[in-house]
Amino acid sequence: MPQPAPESQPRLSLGCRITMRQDVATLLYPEGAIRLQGTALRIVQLCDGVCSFQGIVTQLAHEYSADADRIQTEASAFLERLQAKRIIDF
Amino acid sequence: MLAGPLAIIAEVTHRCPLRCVYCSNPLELKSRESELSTADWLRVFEEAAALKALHVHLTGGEPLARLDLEQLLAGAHQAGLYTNLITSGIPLTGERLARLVAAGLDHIQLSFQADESELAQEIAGRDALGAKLKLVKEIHAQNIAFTANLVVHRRNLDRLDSMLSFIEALQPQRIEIAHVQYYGWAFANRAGLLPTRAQLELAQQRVAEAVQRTHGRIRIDYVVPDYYARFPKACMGGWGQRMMLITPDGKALPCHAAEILPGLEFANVRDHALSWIWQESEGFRKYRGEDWMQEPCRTCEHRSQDFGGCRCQAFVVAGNASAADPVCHLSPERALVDTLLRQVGNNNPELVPLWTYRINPS
Repeated sequence: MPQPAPESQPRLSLGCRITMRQDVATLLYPEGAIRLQGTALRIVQLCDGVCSFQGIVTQLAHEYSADADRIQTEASAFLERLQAKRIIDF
Repeated sequence: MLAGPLAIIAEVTHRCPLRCVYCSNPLELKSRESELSTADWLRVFEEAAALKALHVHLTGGEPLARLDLEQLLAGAHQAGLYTNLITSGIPLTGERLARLVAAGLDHIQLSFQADESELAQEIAGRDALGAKLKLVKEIHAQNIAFTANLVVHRRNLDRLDSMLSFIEALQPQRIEIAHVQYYGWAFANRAGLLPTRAQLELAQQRVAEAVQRTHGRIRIDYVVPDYYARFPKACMGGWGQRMMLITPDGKALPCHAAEILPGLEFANVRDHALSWIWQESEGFRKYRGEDWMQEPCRTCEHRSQDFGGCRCQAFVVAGNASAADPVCHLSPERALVDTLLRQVGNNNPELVPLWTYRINPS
């Protein structure tokens, strides 16, 4: 599967959602769950089906005052892994 | 501090319109009269969420047989649990499905016995394939997260290629291809269900190809048949470590089959809080951790990965629930499993087995 295209609009797949309990964020999906924190949580929160992948990278670079190329590489690899599990679609 | 269960398996009824020969329910089914009430289940879901459980798997029997399933789903959802309905889809109309979704259904897992009616009917004891296909259309129309589950065994594995095409064409997000596990009715029908080694090897190859073919489109999970394995499965992620199963009449068990183990008492959610059952009850403490282990498990380097395998399998195959799972190549009882597998190789594959069909509880 290719990496997310700059103009793609990543979103949580059907049957996947984030739940917050006692300040712990958990991404729930069929037959599984991942605890999210830090950048990973922020990336998934930005996957709202509206914001483009390029927009997500720009936003993260701004929020974390980090190099956009590096953010792009890391966010892309992260979303690709979630896509293979059908947790994120793009 | 012991972490609570991650998931609750709620066997809300043992009633079922199908009679599948590989059913994992126990041979002694719980009657309708003995079933927990709506209020009991709602309390269980709240207590489970308080123990930080994340998922509830509503199963049976056929959970649709509970006319209060909408209420149960709503209660589990409101408690904050992720709700998974494990169903045969019989009988489920589009209207009821919409009500279940409105109540908070997160995901539906629909089982298939085969890709053609005659074989599906032989396995399920009833013709259900057409109704299941209708339901798949409804699931897509209502945009619901969907796993297609296919149970494989000796009798249908020769059709695996066409079954994979069939199940991919249903366009689920997830496919579960599960070799039969030999408990309950499946144990009674083991001789007819155990695959041959050749079938298994081809299946592994074909499933690996399907995983490649569907990458990014469908997530495929594959449950291997442990009789052919070198090491046992990490049954339930360890006894009393991750899962709590609650039977229709309220007994809390560490796994589907635990009630067959002799001399063990399991507490009932009618009498005790879930937290006490999980942390303190004898049934959950008995095989938790490593203290109960005998050799070769006690000193085995794999003991923290597979926990010695399955206690129920050790009991039904080797007659000792504290022994190493006899499928393990390090088990002194492995010869018992090898003898069974040799017999399978000698069976005439054309012969239709004399199935023991699952019955319905009174």
